[in-house]
Amino acid sequence: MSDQEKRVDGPELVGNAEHDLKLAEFELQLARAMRRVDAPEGFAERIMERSASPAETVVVMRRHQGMWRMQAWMSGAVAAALALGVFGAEQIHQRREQAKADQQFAVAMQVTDHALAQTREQLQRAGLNLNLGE
Amino acid sequence: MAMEAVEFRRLVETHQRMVFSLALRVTGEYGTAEEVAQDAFLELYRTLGAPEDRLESEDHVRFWLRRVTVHRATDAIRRRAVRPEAAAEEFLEEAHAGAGVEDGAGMNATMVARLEELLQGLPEAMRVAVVLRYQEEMSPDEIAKLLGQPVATVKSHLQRGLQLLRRKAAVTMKEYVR
Repeated sequence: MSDQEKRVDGPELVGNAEHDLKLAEFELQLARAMRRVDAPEGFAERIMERSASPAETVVVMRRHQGMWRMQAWMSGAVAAALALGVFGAEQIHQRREQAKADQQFAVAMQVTDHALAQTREQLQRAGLNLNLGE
Repeated sequence: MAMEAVEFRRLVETHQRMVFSLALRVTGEYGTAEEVAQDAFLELYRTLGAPEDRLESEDHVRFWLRRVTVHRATDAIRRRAVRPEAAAEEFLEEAHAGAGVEDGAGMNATMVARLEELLQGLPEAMRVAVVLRYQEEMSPDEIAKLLGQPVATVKSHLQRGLQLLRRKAAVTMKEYVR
């Protein structure tokens, strides 16, 4: 090692050693200063109260919320399907009743037409002509 | 009281100083620290009730509580924009009433309070590493495992944090620090 190198390394090494010593001393002071502190008065009691409160159970309940939502959705869907079914059945029933009534009316009209035709024929045979629009 | 609640109370009483101190030194604010510490314990309570997350030993519980507390404390700082520098005065009033009185370790309370104040001025990552190292006396390897960081990163945070604290202390605490 040259004299120049010695001059450069020497003071630096001494400086580092002194620096390390000061840092180690400071570390000791820091470790002593940073001891744990007491929790506030009543800390444990407050936690025990919170752990027993219904609000805590909400957290657990949230885990099942997805399932509850699905069940509610399915219930809604079933109710809607039932309502649609009942409405549809009612509509079909009404249409059938209407068709039956139409058919009965048509038969009644045919019977009336037939009776009128017979009556008119009997009157003509008796020499009476009602001339009903003919 | 159910067996679970009895066990939980024992764990709270055993670890409350550690959890609260960690939360306080990371957040630098008393109210936030209590909230963080309570939330960490309540998470522990829920974990005790979940068979799939079984905590197997006292060491496991301690490791778990330290990790959850640090994460919750750093989240609280970011979420609520708690500025530890601004809260330092409150910290000093609450934590170190009785300045000038020497404590059991021969430390002057004013000096302790000033070191705490300087700690609150460190960047978050350095502060967390320094608190775990000097309050909890954890090795860099243990800190790295707890924080999920490379050991080299933790060592760098510790070294830089310590130098920064030392430099600030040399300026503001000339009467105590050589």
